[in-house]
Amino acid sequence: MLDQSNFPMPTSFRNGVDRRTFFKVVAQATAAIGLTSSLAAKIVAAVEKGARPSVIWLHFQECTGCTESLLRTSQPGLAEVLFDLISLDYHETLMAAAGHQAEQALESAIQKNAGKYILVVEGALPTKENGIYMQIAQKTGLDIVKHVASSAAAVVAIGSCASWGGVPSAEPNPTGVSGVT
Amino acid sequence: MYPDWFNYGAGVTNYLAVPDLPLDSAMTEFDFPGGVVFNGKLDAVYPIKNHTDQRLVNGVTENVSHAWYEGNKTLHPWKGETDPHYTGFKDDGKYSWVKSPRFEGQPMQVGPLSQVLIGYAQGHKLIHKWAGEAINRVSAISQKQVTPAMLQSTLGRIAARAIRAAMLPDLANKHWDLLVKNIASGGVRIYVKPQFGENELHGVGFHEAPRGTLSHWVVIKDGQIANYQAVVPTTWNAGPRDESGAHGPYEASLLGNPVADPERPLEVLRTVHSFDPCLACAIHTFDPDGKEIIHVS
Repeated sequence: MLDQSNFPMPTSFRNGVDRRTFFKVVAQATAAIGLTSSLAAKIVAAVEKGARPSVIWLHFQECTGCTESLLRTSQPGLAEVLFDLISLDYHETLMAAAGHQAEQALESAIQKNAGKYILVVEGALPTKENGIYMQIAQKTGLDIVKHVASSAAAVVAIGSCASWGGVPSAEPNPTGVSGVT
Repeated sequence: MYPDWFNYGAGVTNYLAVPDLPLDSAMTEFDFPGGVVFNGKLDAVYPIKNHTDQRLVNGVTENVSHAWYEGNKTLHPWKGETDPHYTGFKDDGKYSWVKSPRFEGQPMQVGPLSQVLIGYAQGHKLIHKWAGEAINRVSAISQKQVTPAMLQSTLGRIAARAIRAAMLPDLANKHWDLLVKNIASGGVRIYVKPQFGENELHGVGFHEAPRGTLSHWVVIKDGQIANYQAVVPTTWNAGPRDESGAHGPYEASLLGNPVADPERPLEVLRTVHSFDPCLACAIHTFDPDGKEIIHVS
């Protein structure tokens, strides 16, 4: 992903836009990635300085529907969200990298933006038998979320599954899922 | 265009597809064809005409020898068991959450490629139209005459997805008109209240989804679900070896596929992606090294 410190003014705003419209666009973008509008002011400030906030998106036990919703966002469109408003530094469905390269991208995003990135979690977290029911690169979801959340500025649970367990938590909840909170 | 990718990834050349896009509520006529082909023998296709085909209904089993479930049984979905039992990755033991579906004991590839080949073999007009168009264009670009048999490859799998996507707009308007006519003639019922007697009932539903053959199997006892098994397209394709060691389609397509740089195995990604995996449905299968299923050449 692009180096944030050198990022120029968002292209869509290059022809000039009033501050109110700008704020509205950012508020809609933050809603699209599951954040409350109160964080919009912080994002506006960051974008004006030329730094797009780093977002790390994790998938757990989910159907990828929340990501599909994100992909269909309009006003602002996805391109504007990804290129102008946030720096989506890790997203398994959307990123080009796979395998070791993806793992490296995650670690470097965590290090570079420690304390400042927004962690978005999609999907429920299995807890039964120490979380072996969902592993990525042989790490359990439990271990992954503990590691990535530890230096996040904010953790957002997007969708029912991440919020309270959703469909995977239906009786008899065989993998012991709970929401990520 | 990577015409050399017609040479890789054929894998399991047994194909399964079920008919879909019914034209009547009795489900006797369909706009998408179904059938079975074994060993790439397109001249010996067994047509599946509807969803009550007994060979289809009776022929499906799932084996768990290499999947993290109790035991090693091969069971028909109506007798299916799903008792998770995780034992860690063991190359010769259990290494996947995905079961191994088999049709008459054979691994089957499902997906647009299966449907295109099965339809082509039966002379299906719309498939001939679009497969023909695709083959002509690809032949022109690659300066090489492509044949339907060459579609049995990683590149063919991707081309078939485009062929099927090209067929759908032709059919969409037709089916929209049929729906409108049906409603206009009074066909507005959308709910049938389930009434179950006291006998044990067995039900199965089929659908030829974007990724291939989907089937849901239910056993009802005393009006309640006693067993429910879903055998989904990615299960057919992503499934591990069965009790006889026969590889599933992903595995078979990777065997012998050259990999230029084992540290960046793009060819593995390309091959698996050609199946359009839906692992949310099939349950994720992850092989951390991949080395035992790839022969680097």
